[in-house]
Amino acid sequence: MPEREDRPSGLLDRLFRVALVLYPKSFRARFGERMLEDFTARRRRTRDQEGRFAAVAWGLWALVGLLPSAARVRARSLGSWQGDLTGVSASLRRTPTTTALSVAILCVGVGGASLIFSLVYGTLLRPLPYDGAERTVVVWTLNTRQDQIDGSSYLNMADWEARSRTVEQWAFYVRPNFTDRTLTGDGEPARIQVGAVDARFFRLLGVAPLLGRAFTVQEERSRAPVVVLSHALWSDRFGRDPGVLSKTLELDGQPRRIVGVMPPDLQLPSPGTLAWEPHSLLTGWPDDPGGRRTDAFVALAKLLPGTSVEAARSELAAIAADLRAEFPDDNQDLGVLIRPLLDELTGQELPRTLWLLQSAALLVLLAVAANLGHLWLVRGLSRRQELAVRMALGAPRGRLVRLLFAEGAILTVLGTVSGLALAALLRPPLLRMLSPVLPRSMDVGLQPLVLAATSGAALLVGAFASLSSARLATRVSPGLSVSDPARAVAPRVGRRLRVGFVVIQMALAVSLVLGAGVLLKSLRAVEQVDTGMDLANVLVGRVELPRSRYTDPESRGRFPRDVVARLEEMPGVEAAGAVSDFLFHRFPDASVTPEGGALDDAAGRAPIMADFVVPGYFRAVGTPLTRGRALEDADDVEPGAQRPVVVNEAFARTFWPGQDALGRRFQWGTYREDKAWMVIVGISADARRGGLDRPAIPQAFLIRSDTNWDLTVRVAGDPLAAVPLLRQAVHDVDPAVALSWIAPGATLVDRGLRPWRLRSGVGLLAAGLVVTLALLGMYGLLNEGVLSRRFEIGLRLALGASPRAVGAGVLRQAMAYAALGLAAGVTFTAVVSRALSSFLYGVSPLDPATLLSGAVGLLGVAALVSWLPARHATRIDPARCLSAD
Amino acid sequence: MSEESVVRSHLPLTARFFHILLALAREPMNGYQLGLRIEEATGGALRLGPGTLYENLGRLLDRGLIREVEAEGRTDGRGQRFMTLTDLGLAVLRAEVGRLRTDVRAADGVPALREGKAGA
Repeated sequence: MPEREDRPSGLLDRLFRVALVLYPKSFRARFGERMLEDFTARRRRTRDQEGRFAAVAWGLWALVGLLPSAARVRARSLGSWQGDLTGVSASLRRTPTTTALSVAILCVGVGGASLIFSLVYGTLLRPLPYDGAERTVVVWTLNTRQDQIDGSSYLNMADWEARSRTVEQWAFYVRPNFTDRTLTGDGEPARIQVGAVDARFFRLLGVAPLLGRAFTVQEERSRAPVVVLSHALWSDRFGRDPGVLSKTLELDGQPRRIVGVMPPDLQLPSPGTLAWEPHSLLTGWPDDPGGRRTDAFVALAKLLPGTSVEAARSELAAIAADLRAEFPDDNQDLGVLIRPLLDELTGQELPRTLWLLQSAALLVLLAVAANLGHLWLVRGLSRRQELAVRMALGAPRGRLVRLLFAEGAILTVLGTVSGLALAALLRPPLLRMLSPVLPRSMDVGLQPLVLAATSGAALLVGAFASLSSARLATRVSPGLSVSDPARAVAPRVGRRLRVGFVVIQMALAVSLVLGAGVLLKSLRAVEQVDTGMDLANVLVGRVELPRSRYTDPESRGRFPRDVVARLEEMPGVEAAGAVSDFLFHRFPDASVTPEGGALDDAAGRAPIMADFVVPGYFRAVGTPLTRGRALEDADDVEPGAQRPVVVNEAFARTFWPGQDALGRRFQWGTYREDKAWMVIVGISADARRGGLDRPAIPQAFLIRSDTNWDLTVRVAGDPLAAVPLLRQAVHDVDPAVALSWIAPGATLVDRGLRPWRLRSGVGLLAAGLVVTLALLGMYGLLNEGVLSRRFEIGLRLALGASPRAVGAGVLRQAMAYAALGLAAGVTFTAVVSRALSSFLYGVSPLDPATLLSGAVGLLGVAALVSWLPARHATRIDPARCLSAD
Repeated sequence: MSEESVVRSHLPLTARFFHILLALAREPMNGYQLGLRIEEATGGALRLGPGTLYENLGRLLDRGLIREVEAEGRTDGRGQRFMTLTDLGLAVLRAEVGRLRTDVRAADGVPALREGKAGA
C-alpha cells in the first residue's frame, strides 16, 4: 500500500479531525494525532478487506462513537477533581494539627490584611460619596511670607467668587475647629461638632436630606435659629423619630428648630460633624462680614466640568494677586491654596500612617506565605512514603502534585473565608476605636474591591505555598523510598528551600520587631517630652468675642480679665488665666530684632510666636518662671511705651545664646528708631503647645487684647468638675458670649499622641504575629531535622558522643538560622529606614539599643524554641534507631 | 497504603479494561493493533472505536496500570509509541483473573449450569 494513501485525506478523516474538538484540550494533545492515524489506517484496512461500503459504515460508527466517549472524558476530568477533593478532605482530617494551624495562620494574616486594606481603601482610595467630589476643592488663604495656611475672610472669598470663571459652585463654611457647640437640654450636656455652613453647602455636595430640608438663604441671612441633624445625632438623640421635624434641639442653651435630617454619609466639613447650622449664627455676617484680615472661613469650590485643579489654582492665584494690589494693607502676603477635597479630608499625617500599616500587613502576608509554604512542604515530605508507593504503582507525578495542590487550595479557601469573617467581626469595634482619627470611617467597609484584593492576595499566597511544596514533595525516586522507609522520612529534598522559608520569616520578624521597637521608643520619647506645663487639673475653654459688640481693644482686653477675676473668687479654683491661643492654631508669625549687636541672619529669621495673656496664665497652666517676674495687669502699657514681656527659654537661647536674656530688649520686625521696645522681665520654661514631637518655638508673652481667648482654670480635683464654674463665670461677665469649646488641658495635649499610639500598637501586633509564625516555622524545621537525622544522631551517640554535644548541635543550627535571619532583617530594615524615619521621634531606625535588645531577644527565643528538638535529639535511643535500619 | 490494598482498589475491572490489559499482557502494542486484537479475541463482541479505545487507555495510564514506551526496532511507519503493562497493571490483571476464576469455579458447582458447559 503506497504510503501516501495512509495519510488522512478523505471527508471522513477531516470530519474526524474536527470532531476531536469535542475532547478536552489536554486529551487531544495527548491522543488526538494517534486517534486520527488509527482511524485512517483502520478505515483503509476495512476498505481493502471488506469494501468501500463497509469502510464508510465503520467510519461513521467510529465517528458517532466519539460523542459519548468525549462526554465521558469531559465528565471525568471534572469528576476527578471531585474525587481528589474527597480524598483530600480525608487526608486533611488525618493531620488535624497542621490543618488547624494552616487555617489559623491564614485566618489571622488575611483578617489583618483585609482590615488594614479596608482602612486604606476607604480612607485614601475610595471616591467620596458626593456629587462631583473629584472636582471639588477646598480653598484656603496662604500666608506667603510665613508659608502658612490660614482661614479666609468673608470679603476675600466673596471677591474670589465674583471674579473666578473656573468654578461652577461655591459654598463657605466656618473653620471646623472653631465650631464646637454644647448640646444642652434633655440628658447630659455634650460637646458636639456643628458645621457652621452657608445655605449652598448641601447643594454643592449634592446631598439631599433624608427628612425635611436644608436651611434656606433667608434663614441664613436672618440668623434663624434652625439646625439640620446628622443621621448619627438623629439616631442617638431622637431614636430615629420620624416626627423629629416638629422638635427642637438645644445648643449652648438656645433652642433650635430642627428643619432636616441628613443621610449617614455626610461627614463634612469635618469628620464627626453631628449637626449643621447657618454660619451667620456664629459669625457677624451679614451685618458684619469682618475685615479682610480675619480668618474664620473656608471656601468649598466645585470646579466646572473639565477644568483642571491647575487652571483653577492659577486663576485664583491671579485673583489673589489683584486683591493684594487693591488692599495692600490687609491682603499683604496673602495668596490662595487649593487642595482637592479628598486630600483635605485625609490630611497629610494619616495617609502616611495608613501606608505604613499597609506595609506591615504586606510583611505579615509574606510571612504567612513563607510559613505555609514551609508547613505544607514538611507535611508533603512526611507523606513521601505514601507518595512513593503511589508513584511506584504508576500514579503519575502530575496527579500527586494536583492532590497536594488541592489540599492547599482547600486550606487556602478555608483560611481566607475565616479570615474575612474575622475581619467582618473585628471591623465595628476597630472603627469605633479609630473613628476620632479616621476622617472617613463611614466609608471604611469590606467592599467588593477590598474582598477581591485580599482574597486575591490570599489565593496567591496559598497557590505559591502549595505549588512550591507539592512540586518538591513529589520529587521522589520511587525505588529508593519504597525500599528504604527510614530514608523516605529523611528527605534532603527541599531542605535548602525550607531553610530559606525559615530565614525569610526570621528576617521579616526581625524587621518588624525593630520597626515596632523604634516606633514604641518614639512613643515613649514623645510621652516623656516635658510639656513645660502641669495640665492634670487644668480646664481650657475658648471664647470668641463677637466683633460687632467688642469693637475697641479696651473692651476686648477687659472681658477675659473680668472672667479670670470671677473664676478666682470661685471655690475650688486655684488659679485662672487666659491666653490668645492655648494650642497653636496659628504658626509662628512674628520676627524680632534684638537690641545691640549685629542682627544674625539666621536668628533674625527664626520664627517666633507672640502670645497675648491675662496675668495668672502661667500659674494656671503650671509653666514655671525660671527667671524674673510674672506679668501683671499694669504691664499693659500705653502704645509706644516700653512694654514688659516674658519670653520662654527657647527665645532667650535663640537670640542671646549663652547669655542672660533678662532685662534685654527687642523690637518687633525690623529695627526702627521710633518703634517701641519690648523689655524682658521674666523667662518661662519652654511649653510644647505646638505638638510634643516638635521643638519648642521661641515665644514672647505680653499683655494685650484680642477677640479670641482660651480661658485656663486650675482646680483642686477633676478639671471636668470645673465646667459649670467656667460657664458660670463667662455667663456672669456677658451672657451673650458662648464658650465654643471646653476640654481638659491634658486631653488636648494627649490628642497629639494618638497617631503615635496607633502606629506603635499596630507595629507591635504585626511584630508579635510574625515572630510567632517565624518561631513556629523554626521549631518545625529543627524538629524535622532531628527526625531526619535520627540514624546519624543514633550512630554518633552509639560511638560515644555525649548527649550534651548532640543537643548543642541542634542549638547551633537554630542560632545559625536566627543569625541569618537577623542579618537579612537588619539589611532589609536599613534599606527601608528612610521611609521609617519620618515616623520616629528621638530615635533612629537602626537604633543600636533596639537593635541589640531585638537581636538578643530573638536569639534568646530561638534558643528556647530549639530546646524541645534538642532534648528530643539527646533522648534518641541508639540501639532502637540503629536496629530499625 | 499497602500494595495489596492498592491492587484491590482497582477491582473489579470493566470489560474494556480487562480486554485491553489482557491484550497488552501478551506484548506491547499501539492503539491500532490493540483495537484489532480485542475485536479478534472477543469474536467481534467487543468493538472499540478510536474514541472509546483512547478514552480507556487514558484512564488506564492515569491509574498507572499501563504506561507508554518508545517502540524500538519497529519501523512500520506509525504508532511509534506503544502501550505496555506496568507491574501494577499485571498485578491487577492477575488479581482480576483470579477473581473471575473463583467466580467461574463457583458457577461450576451449580448443576443447572453444567448443561451449558456440556453444550459448549
